[in-house]
Amino acid sequence: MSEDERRELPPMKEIDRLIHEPARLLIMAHLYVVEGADFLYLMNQTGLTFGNLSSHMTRLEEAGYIEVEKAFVDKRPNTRLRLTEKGRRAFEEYRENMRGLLA
Amino acid sequence: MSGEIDLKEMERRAYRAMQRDGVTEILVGLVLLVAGGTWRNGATGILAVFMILYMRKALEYIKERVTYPRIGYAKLPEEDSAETGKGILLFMVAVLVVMGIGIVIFYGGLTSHLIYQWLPTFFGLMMLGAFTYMRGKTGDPLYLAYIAYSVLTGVAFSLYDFSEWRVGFTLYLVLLGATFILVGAVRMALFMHRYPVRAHETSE
Repeated sequence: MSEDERRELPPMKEIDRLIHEPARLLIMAHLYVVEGADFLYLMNQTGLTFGNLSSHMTRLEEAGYIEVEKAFVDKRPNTRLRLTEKGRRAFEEYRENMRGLLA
Repeated sequence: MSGEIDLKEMERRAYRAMQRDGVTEILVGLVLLVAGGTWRNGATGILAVFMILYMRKALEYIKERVTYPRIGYAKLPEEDSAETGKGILLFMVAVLVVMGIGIVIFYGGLTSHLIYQWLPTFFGLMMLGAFTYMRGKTGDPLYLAYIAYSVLTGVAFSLYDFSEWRVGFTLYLVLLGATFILVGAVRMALFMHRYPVRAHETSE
């Protein structure tokens, strides 16, 4: 890696890699514009499969970016998700960093 | 997954998704129909109280059974109710003032007969405000058709010479209510056909 390349790296380091993954970015964006949503809504809006959405949901929950609430509606499992304050801030920072990086 | 992420459009899509079931149109239509039958005997006040207390609960009750099992649930951002109320009040006052001035200029005065005669137009303009708001939130062009229909029929009912003063407004509310119930029912039928109930949270 050249010295020039190394100098260019610091702004890239600011990019949150957890959010940068396209599917997770989409999930975060959909949750950013609403106060909360359930699993079925996110599957419909993102086009992700059950398994995909489930694994990304776990990663985001572990990072503290989303809150997951499991309940039963009409005796059927219902999972509702919402961005935490930390998640909302992280998403806004990600947007800012991407703008700065690509401007 | 392709294309850019447009947050404003995503928000509009969320609003559109929650409105495409036709439930709101049916409930609004019912309210207008009942208002058309009650406004002359003063029972509309009771209807207004009922609406404030139960409209939201009724909407949620139906959506939990019709909408959420099909397309999922999204809690839309809460509006600042004080700001919204202020906006509605300002719009209402502005329409009243403009219409009042217009009536005085054209008729040379303001009588109770003229007020009743132009009530359909006033109400149509109130609907214009409400549907403009919804159009902005959802981006759905259907609301433009609702605006045109509410305003144009309002003006038509104001211009038509009814034998009795208050008949025009009553008929206007009944027509508007019946139309919205019909449109809502069609939208709901199409919605239920297009989106069958999905087994919750399974990989199917």
